[in-house]
Amino acid sequence: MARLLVIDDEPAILRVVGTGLRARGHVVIPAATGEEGLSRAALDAPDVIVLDLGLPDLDGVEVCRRIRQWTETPIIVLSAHGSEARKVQALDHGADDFVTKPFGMPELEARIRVALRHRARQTPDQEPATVELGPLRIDFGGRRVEVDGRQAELTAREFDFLAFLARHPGKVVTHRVLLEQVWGPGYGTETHYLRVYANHLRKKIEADPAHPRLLRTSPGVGYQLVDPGDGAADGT
Amino acid sequence: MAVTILGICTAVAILVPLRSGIDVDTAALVLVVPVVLGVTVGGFPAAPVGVVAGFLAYDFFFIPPYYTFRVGATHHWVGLFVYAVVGLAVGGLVAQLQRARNDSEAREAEGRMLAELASTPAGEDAMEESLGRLVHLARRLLGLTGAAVVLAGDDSSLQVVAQEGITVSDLTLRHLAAHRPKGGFEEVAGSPGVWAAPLPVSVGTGGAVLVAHPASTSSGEPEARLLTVFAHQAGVAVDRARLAAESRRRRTLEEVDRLRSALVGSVSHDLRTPLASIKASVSDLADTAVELSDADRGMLLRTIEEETDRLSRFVTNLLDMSRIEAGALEVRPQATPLNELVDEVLHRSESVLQPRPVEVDIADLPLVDVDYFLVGQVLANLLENAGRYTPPGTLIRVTAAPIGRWVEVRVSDTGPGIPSAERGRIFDAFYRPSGDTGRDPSQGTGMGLAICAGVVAAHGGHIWTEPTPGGGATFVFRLPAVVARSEPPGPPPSVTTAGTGA
Repeated sequence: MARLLVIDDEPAILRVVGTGLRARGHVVIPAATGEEGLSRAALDAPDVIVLDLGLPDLDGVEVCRRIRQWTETPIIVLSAHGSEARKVQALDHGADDFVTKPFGMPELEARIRVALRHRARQTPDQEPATVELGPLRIDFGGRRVEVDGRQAELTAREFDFLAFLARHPGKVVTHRVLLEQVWGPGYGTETHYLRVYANHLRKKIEADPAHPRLLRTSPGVGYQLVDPGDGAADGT
Repeated sequence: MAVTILGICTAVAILVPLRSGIDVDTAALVLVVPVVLGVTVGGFPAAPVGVVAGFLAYDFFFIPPYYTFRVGATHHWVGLFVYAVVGLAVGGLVAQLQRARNDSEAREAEGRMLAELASTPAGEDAMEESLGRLVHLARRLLGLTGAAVVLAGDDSSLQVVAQEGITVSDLTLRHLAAHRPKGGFEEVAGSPGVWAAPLPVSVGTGGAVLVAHPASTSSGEPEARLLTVFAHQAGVAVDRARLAAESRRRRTLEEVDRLRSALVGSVSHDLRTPLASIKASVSDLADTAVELSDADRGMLLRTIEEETDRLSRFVTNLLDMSRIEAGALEVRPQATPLNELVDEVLHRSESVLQPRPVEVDIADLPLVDVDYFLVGQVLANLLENAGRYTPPGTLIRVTAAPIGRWVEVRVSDTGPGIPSAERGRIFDAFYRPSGDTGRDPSQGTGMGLAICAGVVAAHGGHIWTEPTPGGGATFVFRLPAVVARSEPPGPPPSVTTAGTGA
């Protein structure tokens, strides 16, 4: 059970999503405008925020940015198909994940579960020395990666790539952010690098590299490292 | 020349009686005057004639011995010689001046013609019209028997666009097509007296300019220049007409493009929003892992129904809109009692109007000659608008009154009203009021009022908006009343007009 803040201006969506999430045992706080959402986020301390990008009063990306100024509460954005650029903007401004409209309730709920789990993991402010995601164990200090107890041989760049994703498990990290953080400032458009490294990494950490369960691609957006145990169906 | 001789005779007649009192050289000076006069009038050819005649008269009358052509003293030879030289020189100078003046007059006339020619093809009217004007003017100014402009079509066959005074035969056209004139005016083979020059255009296919001379003499220099100007002006007229057509076409395309992108924006939002609610509801109902209460289940089903209705309304609007835009709206007028129509629409619109009181005041009205379904939609859209843009509890009034051959229907509210700056634009397709971000789904699709305007216009009426006295918006539209029949109700009059079906 968790407290979920749902910000959407469409009454029908608010009603349906609210009903579905409540039926799954959550407490739902509805908000119909960006301003209301911002104040609810501050007053009601939700565990996860579900945010529609198309709001009448405030731009959804702006809402993301303002929330991120004071809290790390996971934000899942709802975006219309075809507004990829705005989705990426929202992710760059602190959103963790996205669901494309129209979506099924089980999918939304699974994304919320992922966010909740990672939030639980992130809660201590200190950075953990190791992260475990299913069969994957990453030791940041020793720069070692184990899959099912066996050590995987990664190059330095491959390790940095994986480690950056592992520090933000469940979060969709955009191409730009990955390139800036792993390759360095000045990079940002060389998405083909990412494709190559993701492929190499999958061969080393995935049981079936053709059907990755750990390192997921959000086409046109970025990459996401998830715990296969979260059960979030790969809906994209 | 006659002037010269006459002048010399006059001078002689005046001077001979005074001969004893004046100097011989003075007589020579006086005799220069008729030469100058002659040249002024008759041009340079008059100069030698005048000089010879003056020379002889001088010798005969004024150089002793008188009345003989003999010259007595040697110094008189000098006088005669100087007279001849001065006469010729002055004659030449005067003639030159005269020529220069004539030239400048001719040039001025040519300049006037040029200016007149050049100013003809103005405006954006059809190419045929401006070329017609040009051909007419050229014919008048250049004294041509006829003038014509032919233009190559897309298949490079020539067609007459404008002609006056001559009729360009198919044979001439074929000749021209086979031997396009290359440079200046060339005589057209097989058509003596008709000259053709290429039509200089910078846009699209070219053609030719044809002129017929009164006498097929080769034209002089200034006339050839004017003909060239005529050809150029014809080219400019063609270019201008083509560019104007092109820019009109582009403006239309831009408008279509604007509509299309507005449509895409509207469609993507308005189709997707209800779809999202429907999918979320259905997926929830289908998820066996969740237990929903009966109330929840009912709510989800209701949502699905409402959102499906919304989708369906939107699609209907979209189709109507595209029919109106394409001019393919089918109106099937029939004699309709307006109060029945209003009652039915009010009943249908109950859900969008609540909780707003509605007052209906429809006096005794003639029947209206309208398409029941379409006008019902106009009313429904206006009511939906009132429900959408006014706060709950706002009074909405529907009134109607006959005005001449029309019935005027007014739908008014006491809501926030419409800013005067937007009154003209709200009937444009996909126009949304300012402050409406286009994302708020509680707002309209931007099609409702455009459909109203289209439907009312298709009935021959019109629609407008005005402020409600005391605040709010009023939409007014006029519908044609059924023309009253003089005969009393009885056997139905035979139906002769089409379009009364359905």
